[in-house]
Amino acid sequence: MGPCRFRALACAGAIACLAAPAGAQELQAAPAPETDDDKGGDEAFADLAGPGGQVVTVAPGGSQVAPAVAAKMPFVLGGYADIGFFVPSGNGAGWVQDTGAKRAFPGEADRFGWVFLGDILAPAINSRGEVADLGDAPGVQRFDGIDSNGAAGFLVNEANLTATAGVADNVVATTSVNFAPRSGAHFAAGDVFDVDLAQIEWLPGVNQRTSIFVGKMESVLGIEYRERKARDRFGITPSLLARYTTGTPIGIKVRSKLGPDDRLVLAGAVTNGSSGTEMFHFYDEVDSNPGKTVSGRASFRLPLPFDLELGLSGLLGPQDRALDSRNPIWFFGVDLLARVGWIDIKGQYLVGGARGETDRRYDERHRPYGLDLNGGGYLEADWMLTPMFGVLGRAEVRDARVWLGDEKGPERADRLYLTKSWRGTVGVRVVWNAHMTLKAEYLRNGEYGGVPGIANDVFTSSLVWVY
Amino acid sequence: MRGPGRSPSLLAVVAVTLGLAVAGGRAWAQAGAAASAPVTAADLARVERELRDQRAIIMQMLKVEQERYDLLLKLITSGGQGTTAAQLPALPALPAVPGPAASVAAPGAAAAAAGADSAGPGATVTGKIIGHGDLTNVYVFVDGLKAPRGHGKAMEIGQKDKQFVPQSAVVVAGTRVSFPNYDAMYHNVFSPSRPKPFDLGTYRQGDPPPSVVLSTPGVVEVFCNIHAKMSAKILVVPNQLYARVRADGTFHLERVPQGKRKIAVWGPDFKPARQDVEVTASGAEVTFSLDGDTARPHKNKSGLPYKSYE
Repeated sequence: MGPCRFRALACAGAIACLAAPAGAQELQAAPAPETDDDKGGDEAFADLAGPGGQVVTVAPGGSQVAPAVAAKMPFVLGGYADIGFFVPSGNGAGWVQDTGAKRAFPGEADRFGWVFLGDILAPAINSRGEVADLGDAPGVQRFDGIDSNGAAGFLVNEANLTATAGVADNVVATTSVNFAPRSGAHFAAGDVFDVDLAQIEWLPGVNQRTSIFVGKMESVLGIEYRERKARDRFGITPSLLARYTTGTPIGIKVRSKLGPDDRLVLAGAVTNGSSGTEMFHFYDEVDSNPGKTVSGRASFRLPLPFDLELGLSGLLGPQDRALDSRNPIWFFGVDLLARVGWIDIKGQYLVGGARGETDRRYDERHRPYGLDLNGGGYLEADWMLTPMFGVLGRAEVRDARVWLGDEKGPERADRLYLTKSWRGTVGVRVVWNAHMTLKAEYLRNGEYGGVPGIANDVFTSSLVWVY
Repeated sequence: MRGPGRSPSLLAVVAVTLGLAVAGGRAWAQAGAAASAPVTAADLARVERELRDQRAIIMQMLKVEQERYDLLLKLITSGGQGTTAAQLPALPALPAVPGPAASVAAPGAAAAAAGADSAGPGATVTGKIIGHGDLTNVYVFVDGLKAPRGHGKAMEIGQKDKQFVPQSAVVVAGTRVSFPNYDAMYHNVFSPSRPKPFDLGTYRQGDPPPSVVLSTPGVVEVFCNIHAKMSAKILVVPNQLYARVRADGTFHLERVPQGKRKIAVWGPDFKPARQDVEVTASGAEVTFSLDGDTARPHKNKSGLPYKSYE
C-alpha cells in the first residue's frame, strides 16, 4: 500500500468517523434546533422615520425582506437517486400474442399481421414507467433496457440532477437531467441520459400569479405530471395513463391563477408534439411536421371545508412522428385532487384518438401509431398513517387499441395492441427522514373483455435519496 | 404578551431577593478572599446592621404587598366602584441592586425605565384606527422605547393542515417562539425578514420543535419552504406597551411615559404606520388611517419562486 493510498484511506476513515455520529444524530431524535441573537435595536418600524408628528406609512412596495436574501441571484443544485428491487411474474412482459387456432379475437387477425393482447406498460417497476421486460415481439426492435426475462433484480432506476437558478428577480431557469444505467445490446451502450426539463419561467407583474414557460417543460394535460418524478410520487409506479400525460414537450406555456385565493387556474401550451412518453423508444423532441400541438387545462378549487380541485384538460395536434399535420391526435379528460383529513385522493379519466397511418403511408422512420383510447382512468388514495408510515391504494382501467399501418387499407396492417386491462395497486411508504424514503408496491394486473389472463403482476420497491 | 396575574410589587420583591442573593454571594466571595485576615468586631457589627436593614425592607415590602392584595380583593368584590388605582399604596424606595435583578422588569415598569425624558407617571394614549377591513388583529404599540428584553417569555406557532396557527402574533423582543409541526407531512419553516432571518430546516410531526428567539423589533414574516401558501406574520415589539385594537377601531394604551413618543400601529393585512405624539400628564389622543396591504408573493428560502402549481 503506497503512502498516498494510505493517506487517502486514513482521510476517508477520519471523515467516516466524523460523519457517522452526525448521521446517527439526524436519524435519532435530534435536539430541537434553536437560533438566538440579542443585537436588536429598539424600533420596530425604523424604516418609517419621517418628519415629527407626521403620519408616515410604508411606501408601496416597501419590504421588510432582508436585502441580502432578496438581492442575490440564487442557484440551487439538487436531485435524487432512486434505487429499486423488483420481482416480476411470468416473463416480465405485459402482453401475449393472439395467435393459433384459439385466437381470442379472430376478426382482428383478418386486418392485422400481428395481434397482441394486454398492456405493454402494465408491469411497470419504477417511476419512469419502465417495465420488467418488453418481451420479444416479432417484427420490431425496441430499446429493452431492463430485459429481465422475468427474473427478480436490483436496479438503479434513476439518478437525477436538477439545477435551478434565478436569472432575474422574476425569472427562473430550471434544468433536470436523468441518468439511468441500462443493459446494452448488440455492442450498443444501454445507459440512458436524458434532459427531462430545460425551461425558463417568467413571472411578470407584481402579483406573480401568471407564469410563462419556454423550453422543455411539464405538460398541462391532467394532473399526474406534478408527481411524475420518484422524488415527488407518493408511490412508485405511474398510472396506465401516464404515457399520455407526463411527457415533457418543447414549446411555450402560460399558467395563470385567477379569482380569490387563486381558485381558478388556467393553463395553455403550444408545443412540438404531444405530452406522450414511452420508455421503449426515444422521445419525439422535434417535430417532423409543420403543425404544433395545443393543450390546455382549467381547474377550480371548490370552497369546501376540505381541499377539492376539479379540472378539465385537453390536447390537439399533429401525430407524433408524422410527416404532415393532416391527422390529429387528441385527448380530453377530467381530473380531481382532494385532501380529506390526512388522505390525498387523486383521480383522472381520459379519452383520446389518432388515425395513425389510416389512408396514407409514411416512411419507416416516421410512422405514427393509431390510437383509440376508449377510456382510461384511475383513482388513488394516499394516506400517511403516521408521519413516518403511509399506505396507498390505486384502482385503474384502460381500454385502448393501438395499431401500426392502415387498418382500413386493402392489405392487412402491421400490428395491433388490444388492451382491456385493469390494475389494482397497493403500496407502503416509509419516510426515514427528509432525505430518505423507502417505498414498496404490488401491482395486480388483470384483463377483461375477452382478453385472456396474463402473468404480469409485479412487486417492486424503491429507495429514494434526495440530495 | 401582558401578564395580568403578575403584580409589579411581587416582581419587585423578587428583584430585591435576587439582589440580596447576589450581594450575599459577593460578600461570601469577599469573605473567602479575606479568609486569611482576622474578622474584627467592627466587621460583625457592619454585617449585622446590613442584615437588619435588609430584613426591615423585606418586612416593609411584604406589608405593602399585603395592603395591595387586600385592596385588590376589595376592588374585585365591589366591582371597582369607588376605588381608583391611585389609592394603591406605593412601593417603598428600594436600595440600588446591581446585577441580574436589575433586568427583571414588570410590565409597565419597562416604560418607566425607558428614557430620560419619561417625566412623571405614565399616561393613557387613546385613539382610533380608520381602515377598511378586519381590525381584530391590529395592534398599537409604543415604538422606539428602550426596555429590557422579554427573556424567558415563550410562545408557539404550530403548523396544522398546511397552515400556521396562529397566522399572526405579537411578541415582546426577546421572546422565544417555537414552531411545532402537527401535520403528517414535512414542513420547513423559514423567514427572510430583516429583523431575524432564519431557516429551521425540514422536520415533521413528533420531531422536537425548533425555536427561535426574536430579539429585534420589527415584522417577521414566516413561510414554509415546501408549501407556498403557508405564511404567518409576527410583530416583535420593543416593550410591553402595546394593546390590541377593538373591533370598532378604538384603543387605549396605558402607562405610556410622558414625553415625545412614537405610537405605531400594525396589522397583518395593513401597511404599518407611525406617528410622533407628545404624551402629557393628561395623556394623548391619536388617529390613524390605515391602508390595506396586498399580499405579495414570496419566494422560497433559496430566493426562487415556488412551483407555480403549488
